Amino acid sequence: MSVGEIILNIIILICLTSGLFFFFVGVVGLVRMPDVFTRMHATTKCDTMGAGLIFLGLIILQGMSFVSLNILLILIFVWLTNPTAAHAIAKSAYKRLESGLEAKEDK
Amino acid sequence: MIETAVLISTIFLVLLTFVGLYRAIVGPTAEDRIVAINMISTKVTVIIAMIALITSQVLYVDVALVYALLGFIATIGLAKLLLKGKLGK
Amino acid sequence: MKKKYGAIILFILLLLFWFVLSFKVNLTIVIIGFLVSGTVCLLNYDMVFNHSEATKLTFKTIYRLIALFFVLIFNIAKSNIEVAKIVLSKKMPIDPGFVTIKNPLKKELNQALFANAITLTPGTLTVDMNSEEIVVHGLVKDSVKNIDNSSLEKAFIALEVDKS
Repeated sequence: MSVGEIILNIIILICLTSGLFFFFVGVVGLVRMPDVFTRMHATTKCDTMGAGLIFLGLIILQGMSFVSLNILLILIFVWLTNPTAAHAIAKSAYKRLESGLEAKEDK
Repeated sequence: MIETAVLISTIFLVLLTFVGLYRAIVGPTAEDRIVAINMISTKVTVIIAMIALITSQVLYVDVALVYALLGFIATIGLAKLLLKGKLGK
Repeated sequence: MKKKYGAIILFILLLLFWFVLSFKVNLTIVIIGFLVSGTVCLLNYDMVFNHSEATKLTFKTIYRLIALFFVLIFNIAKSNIEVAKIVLSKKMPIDPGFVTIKNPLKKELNQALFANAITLTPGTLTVDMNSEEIVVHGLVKDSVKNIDNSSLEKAFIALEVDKS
């Protein structure tokens, strides 16, 4: 192994580890937080960042090819849609909370 | 050696997915469950992409893309169904 | 004129998408790609970019978009570190609540992007918006005030002002 490969491997390891750390924080927030909106804070931000970091590591691992372009496409898609989905859920929860429907726990 | 690291992180992600399933089962309101399912679908997308690179079956990456699309559509549809009581206009 | 502009952008996007998805390039794939994306553009170009007042792509706008991108990355990293600090501390110092702020932007596309960006900045989550105000849920209520005059809002307003 040359020096360049070792440096690349270290960068990939850093990306994977920090991505896993942010995913872990998201899951811990999902379990610990008290209500819907605060849970959404934890999952939205940490999922976006964690997925971005892990996909970045995978792109570096794959090198320049059509596969890494494909992974880049998935990355852009996840970064665009994750906040939008969070917005949709938050709007639904907010309207139901305003009209007093949220107290009913569904079985 | 780096493949081993990717494999270990895949296993860790699968374990995290099962922890997130706890909120999908217990969660008091319906929105909690949708949040949990949305998070699980993001994680499964990442897992599929990693498995595609480990086994060097590059066509699996397309499966990951389609899974991301499906998760987004499912979340939007469920949120709209909760908000309006029906789908469509 | 406006419709043609939208159709050309849609055609280029579809063609790029086709080439990324079809792992290799040869003559058949190129011909099929041109035919399919041309047909899709002809059938529904009036649905996508019809009434949007999309910002025209000049060099200044591209420079501002790149600046916006870096500001956004910086904000996302900061917000993640803050959420990690709050979640991993023993007794979670949170004070959640709803705050209404003014909507500084006019164009619809920019408003949607701004709402998405608010969701990714530290301690805030867009809940509801119309053309005048945005309802924001804050993890710590006072931190929502920081959106006014932040670097993110300035970058978006700079994108909006350009009339050329």
